[in-house]
Amino acid sequence: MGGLALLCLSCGLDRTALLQFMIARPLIAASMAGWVLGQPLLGLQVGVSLELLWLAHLPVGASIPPDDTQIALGTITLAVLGMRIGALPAETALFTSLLLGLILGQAGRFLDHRARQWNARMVLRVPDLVEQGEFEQLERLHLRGLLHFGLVSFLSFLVIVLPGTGLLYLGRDLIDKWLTPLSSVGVLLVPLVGVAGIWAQNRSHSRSALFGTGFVLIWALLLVWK
Amino acid sequence: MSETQRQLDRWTLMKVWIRLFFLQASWNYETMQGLGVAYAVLPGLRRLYPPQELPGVVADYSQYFNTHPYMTPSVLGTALKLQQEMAQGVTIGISPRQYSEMVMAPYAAIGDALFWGGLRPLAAVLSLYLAFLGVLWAPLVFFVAQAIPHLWMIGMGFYFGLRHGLLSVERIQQWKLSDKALQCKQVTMFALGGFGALLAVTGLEKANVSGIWAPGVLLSIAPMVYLMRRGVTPMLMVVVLVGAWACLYWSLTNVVFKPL
Repeated sequence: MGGLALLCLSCGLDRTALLQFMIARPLIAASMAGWVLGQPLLGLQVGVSLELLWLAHLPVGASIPPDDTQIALGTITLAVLGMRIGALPAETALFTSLLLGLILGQAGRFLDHRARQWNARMVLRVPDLVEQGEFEQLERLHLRGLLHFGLVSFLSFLVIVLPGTGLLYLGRDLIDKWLTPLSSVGVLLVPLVGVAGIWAQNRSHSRSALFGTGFVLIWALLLVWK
Repeated sequence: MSETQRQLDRWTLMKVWIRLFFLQASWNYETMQGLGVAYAVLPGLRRLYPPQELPGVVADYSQYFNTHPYMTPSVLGTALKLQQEMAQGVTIGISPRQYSEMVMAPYAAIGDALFWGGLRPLAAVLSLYLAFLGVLWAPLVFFVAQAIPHLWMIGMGFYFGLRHGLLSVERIQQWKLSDKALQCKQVTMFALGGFGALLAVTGLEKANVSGIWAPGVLLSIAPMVYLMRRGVTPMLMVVVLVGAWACLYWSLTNVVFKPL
């Protein structure tokens, strides 16, 4: 659990506040969480499902994309819990967790927004500190922003995992009956929406022709190979 | 401190460079990266100005500032060079603050297009091929593919800013980053098409349908693209698609192929 908490914090900070080495991207974050939870392949599957979904939503200016980092971490955690406490098959646990993570994770955007508001309130003190020459305090004030971002990362994660675990546990029989038959194809629908999202946002010349060419080429290769 | 002694040494510049990684720690809606900029350049300003002159200079840096985080080192490198010249009493045509205000929006546009819109999707799609095939080190490929240009830009941008001052803008123009962003987007679209085919064939096979029907899936992506261009969110699209799949599945199993 400690490893997961550390991952939640470090990925949450990497997302905006610190370093920005992109370990916060779902593919990386979910895979690392998969290793920590002893399910590396499941982590990879969560990452593949979520990576493209909001990739085209750029964090430009005040626009905040949904917190796909905590959604990824929450989803893999729920998937593992679904297998352990709900005794669900791996694919069903993955599909159910994806749906729960996507829905519950919408709170992450609100919380992210809240951290930035706390920071905005904090910077109102900056002109006075500068005028008084209190630069050490100015530096501390800046670094306090890390606490805000770290805190909302944890909260976003908990908002997904706590109710999600309850729903998985209470509804395990219904989930097994209704979602298991849909799971194998269902898990592929999420990355397919991601593919459409990237295509929709791409404004490059000949984008549709390039997409079609890539599609036909790989399709033909797969047919020949199989 | 005499004006000629006001010089940024390597150790100070290293401290500024390391602090650039903390630039967005206090990102907010009021000054955006403003406080982060002040935090990053403070070691340099402390070196250039005596304590009684510092408040006036720091005030300039703690105002509104917003550009792409990977492009900030280039802006601040040049701003620090200009600040050093100002501190040494050299007459310069443009103040560091004016320079920052002038370049932050174009640099933001270049950075967003290249790093967020170009390199990141390309690295993601290429890594997803590996990940989809179950290669466990695919995330490492994604990480390295992004970390190299990130570190290069943070390092070289800062170096060029400090070394070339205002001329660094020309150097960055020579790199033709906007053209590279466009090329990345085109390669991404090609690779994305292939990844779409991989998803389609795998999905069809899981539903016990031959992969030969994959172009049918391509036809289903096109309306999704149309709807998403008109503002339908990915979240809503997932809900609709899963709902449609559930209806299709249950109608096929309970109505069309209903056991007698």
